[in-house]
Amino acid sequence: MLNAEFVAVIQVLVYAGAIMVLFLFVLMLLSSKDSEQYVNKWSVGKILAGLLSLGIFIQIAGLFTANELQLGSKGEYPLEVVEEVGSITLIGRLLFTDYILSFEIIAILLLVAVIGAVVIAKRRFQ
Amino acid sequence: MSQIWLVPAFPLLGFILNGFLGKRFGTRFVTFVGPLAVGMAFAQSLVLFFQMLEAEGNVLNEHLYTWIASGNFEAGINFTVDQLSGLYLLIITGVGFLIHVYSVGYMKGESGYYRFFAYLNLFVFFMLLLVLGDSFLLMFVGWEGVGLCSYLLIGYYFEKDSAAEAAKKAFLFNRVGDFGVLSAVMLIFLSFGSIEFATVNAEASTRLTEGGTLVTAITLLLFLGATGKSAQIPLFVWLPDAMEGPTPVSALIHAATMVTAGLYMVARLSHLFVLAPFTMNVIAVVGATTAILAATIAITQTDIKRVLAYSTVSQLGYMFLAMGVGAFGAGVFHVMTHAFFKALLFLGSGSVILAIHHEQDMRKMGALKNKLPITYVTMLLGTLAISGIPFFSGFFSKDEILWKAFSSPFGSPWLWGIGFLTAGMTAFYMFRMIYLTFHGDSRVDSHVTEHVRESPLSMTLPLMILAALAVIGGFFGVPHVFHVIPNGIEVYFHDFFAEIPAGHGNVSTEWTLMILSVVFALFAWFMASRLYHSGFEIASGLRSKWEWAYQLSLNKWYVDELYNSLIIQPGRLLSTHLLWGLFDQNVIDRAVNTTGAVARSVGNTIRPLQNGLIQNYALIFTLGTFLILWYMT
Amino acid sequence: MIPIEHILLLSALLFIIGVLGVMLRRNVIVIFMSIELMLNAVNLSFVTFARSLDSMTGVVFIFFIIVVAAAEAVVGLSIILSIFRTRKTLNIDEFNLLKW
Repeated sequence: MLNAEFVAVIQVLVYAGAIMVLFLFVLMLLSSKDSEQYVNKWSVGKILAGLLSLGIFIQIAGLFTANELQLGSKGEYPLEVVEEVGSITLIGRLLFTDYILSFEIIAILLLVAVIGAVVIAKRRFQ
Repeated sequence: MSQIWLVPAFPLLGFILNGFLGKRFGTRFVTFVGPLAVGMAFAQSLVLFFQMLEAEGNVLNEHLYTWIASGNFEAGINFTVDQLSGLYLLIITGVGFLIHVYSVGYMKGESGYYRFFAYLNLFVFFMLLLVLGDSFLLMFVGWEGVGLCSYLLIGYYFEKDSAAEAAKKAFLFNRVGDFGVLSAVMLIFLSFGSIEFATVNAEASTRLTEGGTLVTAITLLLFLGATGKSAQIPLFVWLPDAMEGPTPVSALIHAATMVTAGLYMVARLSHLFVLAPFTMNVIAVVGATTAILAATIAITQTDIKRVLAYSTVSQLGYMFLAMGVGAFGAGVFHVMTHAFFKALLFLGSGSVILAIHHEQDMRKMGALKNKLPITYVTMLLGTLAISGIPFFSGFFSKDEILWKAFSSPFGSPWLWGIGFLTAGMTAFYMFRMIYLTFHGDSRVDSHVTEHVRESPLSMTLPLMILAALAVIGGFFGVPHVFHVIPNGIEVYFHDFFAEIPAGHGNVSTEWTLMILSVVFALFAWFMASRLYHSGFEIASGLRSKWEWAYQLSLNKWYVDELYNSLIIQPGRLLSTHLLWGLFDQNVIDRAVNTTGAVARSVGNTIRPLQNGLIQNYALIFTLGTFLILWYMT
Repeated sequence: MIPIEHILLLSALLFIIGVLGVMLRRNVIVIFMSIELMLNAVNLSFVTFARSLDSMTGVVFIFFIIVVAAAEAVVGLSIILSIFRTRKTLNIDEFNLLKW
């Protein structure tokens, strides 16, 4: 409906494929004593949290459903162009021309994250 | 171009050299530098004196530095040499030089030799500043400075408790006087817009109403300062205690120079004082009362320096009496002659004290006139001078004062009477001192007697010079009635002091009074010789009849005890119970402690906010987001 | 074509659920998953806006968000691993090192 097939596929691949697997690996390593019982007590903080969240939801919803919802200016890729050229092509073009700097930066970010993770989680051998 | 600044610069240089290098370079260096500094100052003072006589209006001015320039007000470091300060310059540097030379012999072998000369030089520097300043500002710098040096020098033997106490006492009583001077300066500034002497003197009659409250207040406050510095009632009690300092200090500071600072101030502002007849009366009465009070105390003292100290207080009373009746010239003349003979007497007593191994009690002296001939002769000459025996210096100056006290429109026969009695008492106790010290049988300790010798030349030479001055110094101010030579003082000070209306009284009255006082002085001498020529025995017999008077006199009329119970004890109680107990502990401490407690409790309240629980932090995030969204919509 | 408001409301709802999860759950892993949920909710709203504005910039931005989320999950989980080694528990109240 939103004609964003590329996003959908990438989401499935990355989240279900990579991040969930990562979580599972971590859970495997964290095999602590089983079934720790977390006693969930009601407290002032929790009630306050619930109320605040409700309040925020109402505010954001109000924003989104306002009658004079003002959107920005229209872009250059209407539905027909996307269907014709293909979303991947368009995204690729944008990535490597207009947003090349950000692209490089997140590449380095990924590198740093990997190195950091290895360093932090390394088991120090005596 | 007159180099006035050289005069104080030499002693200041002497202070710096002696103070910082004296210890290292030793006694020879200090002996050379100390007296030389004052000697050079004396030479330059002579030069300036003659320049001033030639100068137009008899005044030399020198501007050194503008110290304060604020709005319309300007106060600079300017030096002025006029008739009054020129005379004072010669006295300070001349007598000061002689005393420095004397100190070389007197202080020989003392540890802290360099310290003594450094302080003495510093004192001369400040005293010179005092008399050279052209405004209250510089004078007050000198005023405070001599108070400081007096403190340092009285407390020279600082290991002695009594000396330290005496130094503190001197400084504190001076301080009370300083309060008076400062208040007066502020009032003067408010009235005149300027604190220069020339301006104040010139415009006094136009700006201030004669006899009005403002001028009376100003002059009374100034006189309060003068009583502090020059030891009059009520602030005289520090001077006898100041005898704890070495004898040259007593000679220089407490006889010749510092105590005359109050007189200098009154004389300098004569135009201001004549506008306040009430204050003039107060000054005359206080001066006369102090004179006779001190004389009664001096009669029974046994410490030779105390006798001289009370004698100084008494003579200062004479000088204030002169100022109070408008005889400013006579008062300054007596300052000069008093400097000569009092310094002589103090230095002579120092010579005696040193000869009998630091013994100051006259009950342990006697029959010294053959062993200390030069000291004896010079002290005798000084005593003749102070007693007002004709043709010695004290005769002319004292007589002038007595005559003016009688005849001036500000004076009265009562004042003359008090002065007359005091003159007789002065002769009495001074000759008593001579007889007890030099005549009669020896009461000196036996083991000391063999070593009694005349003092070295460094000490006896100043004695001789001062004795000569004490003899001939009076001829500068021979009164008119003698018709021999003009009255040098009046010629010298022409038009300098304020005019007062002409007095009453004629020539024959003047001669009568003069002869009366001479006769009385000779009579007092005779009585003293009868009572004391062989020591204390005759006098002790007399004492039992008049025990109450004797006790009153010996204990200084219990003035110190009076001050203690009236002022000191209540003050201490006030401080301890009220100021400390009530105010300091309750108010101030409470405020400070409360501030601390508040800080601590605020800290205790806020600290739990940062407990490390991440979900708390998340809660606060959402709270913030909620508030922001609320403000945006 | 579904009206945009519906999709936006869905994204807001998902976001709030994520927030609640962060504040109310005790297990650290669950909190991490809630954080990922929040990021994805934002992704959804980005796509919606990109479509309604005929722009591809939104989609590119989603790309970046996914990368950053991945990196952050990696580092966060490694931190949890190393803290777990000493405390042997996943109760977030034990992870109270973020104070003086």
